Amino acid sequence: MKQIVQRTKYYILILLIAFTGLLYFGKDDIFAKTGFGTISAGDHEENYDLSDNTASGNDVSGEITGGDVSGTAVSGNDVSGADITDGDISGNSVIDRQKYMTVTEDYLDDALFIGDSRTVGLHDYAKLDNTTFYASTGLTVYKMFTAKIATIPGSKKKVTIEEALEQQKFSKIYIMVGINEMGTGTAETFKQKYSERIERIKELQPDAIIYIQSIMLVTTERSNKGDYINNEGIIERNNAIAELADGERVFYLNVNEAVADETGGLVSEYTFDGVHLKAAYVDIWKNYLLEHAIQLEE
Amino acid sequence: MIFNSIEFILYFLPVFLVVYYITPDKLKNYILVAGSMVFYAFGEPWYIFLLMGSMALAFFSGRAISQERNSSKKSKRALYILAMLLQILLLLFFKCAPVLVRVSAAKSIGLPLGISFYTFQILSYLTDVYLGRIQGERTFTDLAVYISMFPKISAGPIVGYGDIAGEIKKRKVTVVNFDDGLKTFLYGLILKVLLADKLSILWHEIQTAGFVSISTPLAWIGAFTFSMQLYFDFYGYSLMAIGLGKMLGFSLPENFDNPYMAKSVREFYRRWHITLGKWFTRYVYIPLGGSRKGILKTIRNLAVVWFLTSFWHGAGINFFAWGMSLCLFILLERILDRKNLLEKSHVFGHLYILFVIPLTWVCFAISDSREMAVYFGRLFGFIRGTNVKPGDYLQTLSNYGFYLLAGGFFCTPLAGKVYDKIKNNIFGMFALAVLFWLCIDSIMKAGNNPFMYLRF
Repeated sequence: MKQIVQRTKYYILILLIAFTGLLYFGKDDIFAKTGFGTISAGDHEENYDLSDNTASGNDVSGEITGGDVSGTAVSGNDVSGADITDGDISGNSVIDRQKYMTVTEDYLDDALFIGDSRTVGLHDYAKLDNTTFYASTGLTVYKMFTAKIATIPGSKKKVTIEEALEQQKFSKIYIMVGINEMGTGTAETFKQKYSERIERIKELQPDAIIYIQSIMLVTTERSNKGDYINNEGIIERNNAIAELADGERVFYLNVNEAVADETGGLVSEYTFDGVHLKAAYVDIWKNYLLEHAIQLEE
Repeated sequence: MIFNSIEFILYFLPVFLVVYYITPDKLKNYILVAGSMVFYAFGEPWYIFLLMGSMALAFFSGRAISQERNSSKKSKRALYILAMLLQILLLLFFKCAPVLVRVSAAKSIGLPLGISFYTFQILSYLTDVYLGRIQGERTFTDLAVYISMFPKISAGPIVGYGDIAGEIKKRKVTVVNFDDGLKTFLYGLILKVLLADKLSILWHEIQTAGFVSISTPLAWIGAFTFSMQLYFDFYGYSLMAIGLGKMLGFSLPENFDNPYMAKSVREFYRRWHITLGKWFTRYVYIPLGGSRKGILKTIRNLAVVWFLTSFWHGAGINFFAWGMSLCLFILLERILDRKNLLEKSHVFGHLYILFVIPLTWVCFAISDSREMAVYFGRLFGFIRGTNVKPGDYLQTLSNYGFYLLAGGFFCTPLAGKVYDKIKNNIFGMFALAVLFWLCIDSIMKAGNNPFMYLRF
């Protein structure tokens, strides 16, 4: 008897593991998507979110339409269909291309940047101290209005971007999202959601200029890795969201013009991981924005 | 297959263990070899044949050069040299191919799993047979167990055949071993997944920002982080190997002994990757004469060992920079510190190591010489930073402080002692079970490729 009792203690750990395992696998049924260890999107602005990496794109799964946007089916006048760097494909009319001006940094003092970790890089290294950033690693067009990553001056509480836009006024709003949505939905569904966001932003900020920035490319090497992050897909989506520009209040900025190389990917020297610009090179992005600014006539 | 993966922990291992435990003792080695082949072939379908070829070569040459055989000394010697050369050339080829073929992640592309480790063990086997220390193994399965057993094939510990032959032939598999091995395995898994992998994210962030853009405090944090990440990665993996060995009835030797508690570089390398150090000592350093043939020969012998050690880690300039600087420190210590004052000191030795070793790891970590120069430039302030974010290290400390502190704690012997206490306590075990599932959760989200899970 004593032997059996003595021996059982060696089974305790493995049994506990099995037992807690049941709980672990069971909890997914108990709780919703925000499960064990999942930090709600955009917890820390500058944090690499170590939790689940799918966009909570539940609202678009299965809604894949047959409308596959190809690289050439794009509106706008400066279509160069074969241009790998999605060159001048934009929704901009000829008129507003002439409106692009070069401005100084104070142009961005009343600007807002919404974006994912690439925008976080801009925040960290571009020395735009007067600009507002609502950016977070992992941000997607789906989470854009639900992630609590914004703060209102004077309050420490984190609110959603939508709430912040209700309470603050910006003259320019720059958006760059899209890399995290690769692998979820299609270019069309992405564009659809993006369009909804733009509409809402227009409602909340009727006087603001909205800049849709192209999803920044990745290096060709990174693109060739064989996963859902590839430049063909990025360009497809860029072409889709470019159509959302109206040339009056919503504009499309092809940032990739400044950072792409002749192979159609991000310049390798500019990045370590193939996805993010190194700190020393974010100025290239910033300068591109400053050289493609719109001033609306009053 | 790697240990920290779902396929290993939740599929392969449970199935294997069940089969292994119900198999009668006489047949266990067959099961072990079969299982190890499955384990190895899982990620490396073609390289399994390379492994099998190496095992066959080792077996047949071992038999042929064995003392008991009646062939001439000369032919034995020739055969020994031939077999050794073949095995060495094979390793050389794979070591150099990534560098010559200009692939970016030289570490993971092209190099067959565990080739550095199993090659060294084969070399030690052939040498021991040739020198008459052991007999050439007659049973192929037994030799195959030695070379390919999955607990140690990927990353050691490196053992000599003589040290493990007894257990290969006859070992006891008990529930005590199982439980003890499981606890050791868990400890290793936790160190690897919940510490090393998290710290590696910090280092990755620093690389992403670009070395020229980090502040000096952050550069130092980076050096310490990499030092800890590398340690917990390797130490964790070694513990998993040892734990698995225990579960199967083997007692594999320890590979790390709180290396960051060392007080001299010599001592550090007696505590870091212990089995590799022992291999070089036994098969290179001592045969060359060790330190018994005067100072010049000692210098030569140390240089040879460190040259080979550097190359074993990788065929890049940075590995030589790493290895030869260590060699230099060791030589300086031998010459200047004959009275062993460093190791006798209470504080100075520790500070010395905590300053020197992370700097050597910086060489180890950065393969591009220009980038390495930039990093040292930022460490010591002689290169000006570009676009450095003010207070970047504060942000890092706030995000990773917990892991850095935990890392520091686990570098001390206290961590092991605490673990030994809690692992047998019911609450402790419950905590371990929870931590285990945390690890699984982390692995599932990471998807094994450490950089796939980084959200952009």
